[in-house]
Amino acid sequence: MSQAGAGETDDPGLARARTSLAWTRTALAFAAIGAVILRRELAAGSLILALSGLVWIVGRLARIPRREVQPRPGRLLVITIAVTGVAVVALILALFGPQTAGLRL
Amino acid sequence: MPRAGETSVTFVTLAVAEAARPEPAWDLITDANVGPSWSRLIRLATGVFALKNAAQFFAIVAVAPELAAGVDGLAAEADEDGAELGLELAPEPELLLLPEQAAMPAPSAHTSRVCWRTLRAIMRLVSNFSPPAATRSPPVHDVGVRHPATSWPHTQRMMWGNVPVDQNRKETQTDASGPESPAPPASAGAGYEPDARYTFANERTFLAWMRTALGLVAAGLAIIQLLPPFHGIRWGRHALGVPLIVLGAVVAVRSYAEWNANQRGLRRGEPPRHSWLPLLLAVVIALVALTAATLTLTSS
Repeated sequence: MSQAGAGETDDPGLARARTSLAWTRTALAFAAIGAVILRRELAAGSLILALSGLVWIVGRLARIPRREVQPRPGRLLVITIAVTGVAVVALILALFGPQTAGLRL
Repeated sequence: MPRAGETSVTFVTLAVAEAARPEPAWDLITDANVGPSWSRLIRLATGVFALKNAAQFFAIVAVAPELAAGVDGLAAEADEDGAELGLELAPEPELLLLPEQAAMPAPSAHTSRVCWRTLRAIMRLVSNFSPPAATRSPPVHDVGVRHPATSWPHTQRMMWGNVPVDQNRKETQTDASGPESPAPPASAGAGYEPDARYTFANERTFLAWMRTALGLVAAGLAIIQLLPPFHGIRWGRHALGVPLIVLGAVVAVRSYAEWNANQRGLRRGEPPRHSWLPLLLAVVIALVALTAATLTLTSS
């Protein structure tokens, strides 16, 4: 790591913005996979789309500047559980869902 | 007849009781309840209020001049004493009339305080699971004073904020200009809350792994649902898609554990932990690619 100046090291504002953007990208990923699953399973797809909104809100909360910066394990645990749930739903759809002929390109 | 006998006995008993207690004076009792002697109406009618107010008025008029004279006399004596001692009494301060709202509390102060406490409790419950007591740390400020120049490398000193945590979880003073500022421990159960930028960076790394997990799940699902089946191999699509979906779940769970471990390591000043997630990711993707190539060659 290069030695940064005092002004750069003392201001975490850009780091906070980058983190907020990372949350937004994660919300978009949730929305994309929710839209894919929505075509097969209405309930599961709707739930995942709702989760994308939740992730976006959490990202907005991370954007709020605070005097104290503390890790938020609760938020990250919620995201972990959500992604694991999406994987389980996808696995159920893959194993027990209707067999399709696939796309004919 | 047994019933007649009972009636006779009851009659005798009532007669004895009535003789022992004469009929009460219901009219007098009713009058006393409606207008008791101590009621405001009775006291007004009998002139008690008027007499009381008049007596108080005359008593005040009689005493007030004496009190005023006594106060003036005391003030004059005090002036004389002060003049003898060469002192001057300070002028009496003028009392300003307070506005009306100064005498009343803010009507919504308590309400807003209660609402804020409730909101904080909900937010803490939803978004912050408390870490174990050994690793819980006091708050860290965004703009922190880093540890003073000691034998620690610069990059390592930058990893900590200004709040060290000792075994008793008490804040100790870390003044950058102080010669006796404590150096961060190399490894211990205690630690220093890392700089905010490192906390954010660790969180972004976790989120990147989450997106990777979601991408793996989406890729696996797309292979199974959208890819045309291999000729003669019914399980071909599942052989490619299911490992990716399972890998997505593993990456999600493991990345949370690694985030937690990295945060703990940052707090203790330990070097970054070795992660086997990239190796796992590379191996599984390579295997899936080889399987896809084999299936494609076999089916054609």
